Amino acid sequence: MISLSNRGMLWLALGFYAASLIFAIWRLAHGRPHCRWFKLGLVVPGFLFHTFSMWNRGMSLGHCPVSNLFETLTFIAWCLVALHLGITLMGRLNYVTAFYMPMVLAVQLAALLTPADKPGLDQWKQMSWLGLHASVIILGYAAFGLAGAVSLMYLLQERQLRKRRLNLSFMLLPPILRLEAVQGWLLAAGFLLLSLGLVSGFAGLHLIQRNNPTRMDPKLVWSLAVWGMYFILVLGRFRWGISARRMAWLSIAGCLLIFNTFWLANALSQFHHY
Amino acid sequence: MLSAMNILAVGLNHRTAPVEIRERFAIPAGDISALLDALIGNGIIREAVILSTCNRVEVYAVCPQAAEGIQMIFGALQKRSGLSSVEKSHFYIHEFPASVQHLYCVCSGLDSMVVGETEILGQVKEAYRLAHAARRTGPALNKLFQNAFGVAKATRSQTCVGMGSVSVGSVAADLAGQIFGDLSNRAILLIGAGETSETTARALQERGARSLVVANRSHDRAVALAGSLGGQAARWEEWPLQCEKVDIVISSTAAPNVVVTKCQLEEVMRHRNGAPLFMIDLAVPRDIERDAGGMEGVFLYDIDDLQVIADQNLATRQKEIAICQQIIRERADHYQTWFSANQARIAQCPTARELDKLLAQSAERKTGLAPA
Repeated sequence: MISLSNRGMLWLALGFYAASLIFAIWRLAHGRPHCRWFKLGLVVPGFLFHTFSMWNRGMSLGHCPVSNLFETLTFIAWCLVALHLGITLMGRLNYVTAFYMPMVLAVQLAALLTPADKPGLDQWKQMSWLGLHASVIILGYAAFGLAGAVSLMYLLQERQLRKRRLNLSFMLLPPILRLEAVQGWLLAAGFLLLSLGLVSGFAGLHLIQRNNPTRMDPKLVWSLAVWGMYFILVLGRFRWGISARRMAWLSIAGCLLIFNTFWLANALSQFHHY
Repeated sequence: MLSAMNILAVGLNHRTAPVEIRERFAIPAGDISALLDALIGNGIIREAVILSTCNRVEVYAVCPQAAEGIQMIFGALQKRSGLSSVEKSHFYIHEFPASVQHLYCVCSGLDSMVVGETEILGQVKEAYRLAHAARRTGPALNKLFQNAFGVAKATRSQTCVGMGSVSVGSVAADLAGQIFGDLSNRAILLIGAGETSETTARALQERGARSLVVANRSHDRAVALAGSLGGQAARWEEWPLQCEKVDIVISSTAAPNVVVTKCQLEEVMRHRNGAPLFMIDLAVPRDIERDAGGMEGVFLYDIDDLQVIADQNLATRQKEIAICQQIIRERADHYQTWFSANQARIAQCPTARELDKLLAQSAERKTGLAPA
């Protein structure tokens, strides 16, 4: 019997995700109707390999596997796929795979190409709350990622409607009001999760630094900046009535900012340095 | 020895016969059962289904001798039409296996006047239901029609033959769906009471739009149209106020100049809290200032825009025909294999006529045994 290493399973998962992306893009480009079950047939096996690999690693470490960059990126990719599956099963967003899966592939590939698969920080073994703190925040980032993909779909749909270039691919995508609504829910959910994660982080930091002088960690500053940015976005969406098009652009910008500076904040951080 | 069974499809449609011929052969739903009895009556035809729509009349029949079966069908149709002779050039006759492919094409909408339309599938289902309820179908046609419904589903789900509307009204409804999704809570404002706007409003209502307001210079005409569409009439000068409340505006006045200016719309949009407004300008010359289409939240389409989309959709449907035909050929081959392998079983099954006799005898026995 062939036995697969954890990394082997992750590569396999990556293969399934890539296949689902190619399938979705092919069908969309050829104007084929959305085929949810066939697509799920490609994503679900990948997700199972992904989950099993993380489960194995978590069991061997004795805590949630988010204690180094490899694990964190793998967990981010897992959260992204979990959200994708949830949305797909709800049947609300046709062809979201074509816009969202590239982000999953990029994160998963970055995880697999991370050279040092070294053990995480020691405090993970003593502080179980860290797992909750990290996983809740990561889930929030995944929601922001999905909101970015949905915003991209919104902009494409809106542009097609304005230019009156209505091919079949356009007819296959979800209605723009639904995209706008889902984007709003995802922003709100992501913001809530990020807030919960930061609160748990602050509580943990208070425990760690009880006997030490308080210092502002770069990752903490970065996280607060992200929180502030999304606070403004959520206010803009639900309170100030910023137009859907502007919200879409801002959501994409926020998502890109997070995924491009996440590693830098980690590299500069003392507490989060892997 | 049992002779080989054949499946026939005999009929006429919009391509083979003009409307004055089709209407002579059209069969109301209430008369189908009697015609089925006439077809099955002498035992030549073992199973039958009759399909009668505004564009086609077709008889599907299972019989051992094709020539006798065809003669039987023509005889029944001639008697029914009241014509002294049937002009056979208007008819097509398909024998097995071409008849199977023909039914699959009909169900998939490939043989329809508007390629890919879905109404025909419902009509075929109803025709089959009537024949099945009258016990005029057997193993061959039961299997064939069930397969045909599966083929129709496959062609729709695997190709784009049924996608994209091909009429202006339906295109407008499609676009509204792409903006709002579910139209059930959406409100429509008709500015002007033209015929095209009425058709378009009906298409939107068929997709679920409930609330409708008509504003017209002639208030009486607005009241009349609102009444026929189940909506409300508004005074002409109230249209900007109504515009703030609705989601879809259809304009088709006979005004020589622009009726809805960009300035007026800017004022309207200020009161809508960012809610999108879908505007359909069906008037020539146009009613809505073209520049208004550039405003945020406004999606403006004129009659030419809708017609271009309808034409594109029709062209796309035509391209899909080859893929549909491939699916149909494959599925027809499966049925052909099954039919060939089950000829003996189909031939041995009691015919509808025999079943009728058995049922009558059984009823007589029961009556005879029943106490006086």
